[in-house]
Formats: sequence, structure tokens, C-alpha cells
Amino acid sequence: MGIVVSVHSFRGGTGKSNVTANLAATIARQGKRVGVVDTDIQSPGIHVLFGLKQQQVKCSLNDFLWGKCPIEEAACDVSDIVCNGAQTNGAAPGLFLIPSSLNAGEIARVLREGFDVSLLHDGFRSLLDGLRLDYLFIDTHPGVNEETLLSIALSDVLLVILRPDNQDYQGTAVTVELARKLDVSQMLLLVNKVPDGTNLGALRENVEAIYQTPVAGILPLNLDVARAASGEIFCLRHPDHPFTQEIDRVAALLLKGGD
Amino acid sequence: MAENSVPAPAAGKITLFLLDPIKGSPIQTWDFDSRALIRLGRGVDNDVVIQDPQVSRVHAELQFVLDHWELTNRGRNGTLVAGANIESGRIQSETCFRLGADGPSFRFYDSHRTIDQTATVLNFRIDLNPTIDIDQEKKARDVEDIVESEYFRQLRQSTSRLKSRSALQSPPTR
Repeated sequence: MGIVVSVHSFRGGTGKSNVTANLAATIARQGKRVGVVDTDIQSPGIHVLFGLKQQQVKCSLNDFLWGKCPIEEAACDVSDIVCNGAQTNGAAPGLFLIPSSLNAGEIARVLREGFDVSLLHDGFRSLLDGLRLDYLFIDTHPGVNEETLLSIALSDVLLVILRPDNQDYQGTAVTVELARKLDVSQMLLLVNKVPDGTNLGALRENVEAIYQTPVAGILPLNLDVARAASGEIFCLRHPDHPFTQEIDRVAALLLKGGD
Repeated sequence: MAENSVPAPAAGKITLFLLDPIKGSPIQTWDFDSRALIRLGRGVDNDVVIQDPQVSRVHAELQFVLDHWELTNRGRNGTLVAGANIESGRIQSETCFRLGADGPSFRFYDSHRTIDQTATVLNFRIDLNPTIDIDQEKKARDVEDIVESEYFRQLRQSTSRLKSRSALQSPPTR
């Protein structure tokens, strides 16, 4: 059975979509079949990293939620991004994106109507089974609200991203506690945009002690990634970059948990 | 596809200036050409020998790595850049550093590489150790408010039921 990985952060701007896209692509490159669902319906953005334009999207997550199409039809096959030079283990690797609608009217409608718990759960399971996915990443909207709690509740693994910033700490503590109340099987933290000069060992120890949760990775604040401006999946273009190497380590942790 | 081979950048010529502690002007100079590692310290086998009680036998190293120079502290009294202790980091031309808080000051000059004017960080590990303060009482109140809500209760019940159903229906392991 495939694994649902929810990627969440209390605040916006933590690099959640970038990390999600890079992790998903890295794991697909290892020969796995990976899906990414953009449940950030209020401010969809991860499709940009995959180079997906609005005219290429026939069906979106929104259409599925309104019963207009099965969720598999909303899945865009973006496997060609990772296919070149990908290692395979015999099974065809694959990368699929289920985008949210960019139409403002549709965004407003979903915000008014909310998500149906069983519908989203069944949708995730259909994707896992129908596309034979090993991993399904859920890119969530930041903050604690009904939609994000739903994504967290339906996940097997929750990856919470925070920056070493005073605006992130308190809300992350609330999120971690809520995730425990929702009986999420596995929770990991990732500290992103860490300024140069930070004692990384002490930071990891500190974060793990405060949140009583393992730190899967620490990503430095990096001008190269900032300059890429979400125009690409960074790891695919820069395989030897320190950012990519840390993403590789986080991916390896997720893969280990999935075996 | 044939790879284009690009020669690795060379260390080139660098100069170290020992600075007058009062005036800040150079009082002694060392030139190094095509050297990848330069050691500074009190010991006579260093490349830059400084007889000063603040300076350790081997106090600091300048090393050429890939395409830039790095300054690393090895001394008991530390090596300081802009008044802050550093462990190791990239050093750019015209940077001043000090061996020990009251020790001798040097200016590093790299004739091949100009200062990156667009850099916004110093690229030195100055040992930031952010403290994380959590208001535990507020956290508990916020969590309770959400957990006690009707939505949360229903969410817990629904997902528990759905996950159990999925576990029963899941196909045999591949």
C-alpha cells in the first residue's frame, strides 16, 4: 500500500512547495511512482515548479471534489521531468501532479463549501491504487484550518517545515501537538532557510528537544535556490549542490520508512 | 556526449598584511603564489610566524578550496572576523581577521578575486544558536480550543473509520 506524505507548515514562505516538489522528484528518480496533490486551493503554486501551464490542466482537484471527474483524470503525468537518467528498479518510475484550479471563482467556491473528508480520503486511495503509487505527497496550505487538519489526518507521514524564525516556533508547536491528537503514524520536522553561521548540530538538538520530534533535514538559506525562483525543480538541475544532497538525505529517510 | 573539461581555478597570488595595532597600516607582508594551504601561528614551522602570547602554535589556516579561499581557526584564543569568532568559512579579498581577541590583526588580499558586492551574508560560521521559546500554556489552550471543536471531533472519528476500512481493503503487499 502506498504512503501518503503530508507536507505542512504553520507559516507561509517556509519553502513547503519547493521542498515537496524536490522530494517527490528525487524519490521518483529512485525508480518509485510518486504523486503530488496540491491541496493549497487558496493559493495554488506547486504546478509552477513542474512547468505546468493552466491550459494543460483539463481537470483539477476542484473538479474532482465537485464530482465532475474521477481523481485519476486530474493527474497530469510529469514523469518526463525525471525520466532522463533515472535509476529504475524494474518498475516504471512515474511522477504525477494533481493540481488545484487557478480559476479565482473556483477557488472561492471551494473555500465556501470546504472539503468532504470521505471524498478526499477515497480520492487519495484511488490515486494510490489507480496510478500504482508508492508515495503520494500532499502539498498543503499553511496554517491550522479545517482543510489542513484534514490533510494531516489522512496522512501516514507528516513532514512539518519551519524556519529558525520566531514567527514559526509557537504555531509549529501547536501543529505538532494537533498531529499527535490525530494519531499521525510518523512525524518529521525539516528546518529550512537556515542562515549561514548557525550551529547546525545545536539547532537540530534544540528543535528535536523542543518538539520531541526527529529532524529529518536542515536546509540552509541558499541564494542559488532563491535565484531559481521556483522556475525549476532545483535538485534535478543541480545534482551535486549541497541543497540537493540534503534533500537526498531526507528522501532516503522517507524511502527507508516505506520499505 | 563529450564532456567539456574546464581547468580548475588556481590558487594564484595572495598577500597577508600584518597591521599596526594602533594605526591599522601594514607593518609586515607575506606573499604566497600558487600555494593551497597557508598556516599561521607561533611555531617556527608555520608559513606566517607570529611571536605573540595570544597566538597558538598553529592558530589559523588559509586553504584554497575549489575556487575560493577559506579561513579556519585552530587556535585556543579563537580567530575573529568583524569582532566575531569564526570556526571556518570563506574569506574574500580585503577581509581583516584577528588571531585572538587581543592578538595581531591581518588583512587578506587576493589579487585574482574581487569582492562579491552582491553578497548579503558574510559566509562565516559565527556560531548562531537560536533559542526557541514556546509558551506552553498558550499552546495547551490553543490545542484544546481546536481539539474541543465539533469539526475536530468529527474529523478524528471519520479518519479513524476510513483508515480502518482502507487497512481491511488494502491489496496484498507487492
